[in-house]
Amino acid sequence: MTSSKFGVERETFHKEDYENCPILRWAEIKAEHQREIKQIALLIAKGTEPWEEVDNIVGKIFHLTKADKQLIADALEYSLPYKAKKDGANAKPDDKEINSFLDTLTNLFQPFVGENSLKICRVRGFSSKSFEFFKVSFEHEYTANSTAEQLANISEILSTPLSASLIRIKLDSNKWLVGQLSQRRYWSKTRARLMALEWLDSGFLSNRES
Amino acid sequence: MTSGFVNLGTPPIRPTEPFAAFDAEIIRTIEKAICEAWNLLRCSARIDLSTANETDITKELQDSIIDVMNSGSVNGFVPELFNHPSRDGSVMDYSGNIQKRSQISQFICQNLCPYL
Repeated sequence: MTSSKFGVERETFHKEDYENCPILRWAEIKAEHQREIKQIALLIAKGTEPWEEVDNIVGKIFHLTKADKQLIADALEYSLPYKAKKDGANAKPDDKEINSFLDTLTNLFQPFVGENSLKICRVRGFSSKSFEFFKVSFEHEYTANSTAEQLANISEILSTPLSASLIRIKLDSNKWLVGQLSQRRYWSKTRARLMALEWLDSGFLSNRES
Repeated sequence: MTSGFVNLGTPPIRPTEPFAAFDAEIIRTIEKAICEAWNLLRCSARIDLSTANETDITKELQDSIIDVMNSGSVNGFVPELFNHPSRDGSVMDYSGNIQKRSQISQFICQNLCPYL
């Protein structure tokens, strides 16, 4: 359910979302899951907070994949309408978050580049308060150096007002420079997954030279 | 221009494709997954392929493809990128008009979450 939001004086949601939510009757739940639910209920009654176990059993009942669970975790981290969450989502990502994003993107995309080696590396050479950059290369030989012409090109783009959250510049036949807004919500693992899906779906791979 | 011995005439105007071409690696990945799923099915006691009808075999193959996806045994064929296969769906062909009714359809994930 993603339609919930704050209205003028109370929270709002779409009734059809609740009607479509597949809440199972107790009798429809497998016996093994029923046993686990009872154990978790006992833990909650004792005052402990086994929320991870609650997430796990819900995942089992609804056959959620690891990716589904990550999507839910990211939605709760970056999309809730509370000030603290909004501020956190708009804050600058740290090195760990950016590296995690790039690792996820590389792992998802690597199987589709054939014999070429995929290199996705962060680029720190372009100083910008609002963007973080990385390079994508499909070559055997990878060089992370940037030419003066590329630097000038990026500087020109960044010097003008942008209403985009993503910049993708083709550096040569097998190399791209990608810049994303420097906000945590754009560097989640689900965002990396969305980017890989967009590349697969848009024929991005077909634009390179084999 | 009429066709003749040295001129085969003007080729017909092709419609504009409604979507970008899938890269060969994506097709190869799905093909590998189907082969892996079929091998699993042949070695499985779930169904007797020599006596089962087409509908039952298709259903078991669908389940077997899901097993392959969840196991991660085929590189790249993962639930992060692919939806579970669906049966008896209608899909567009390259012209965007004719509906093709495939036994099993395999889609790339889309519309994950509009708020992310």
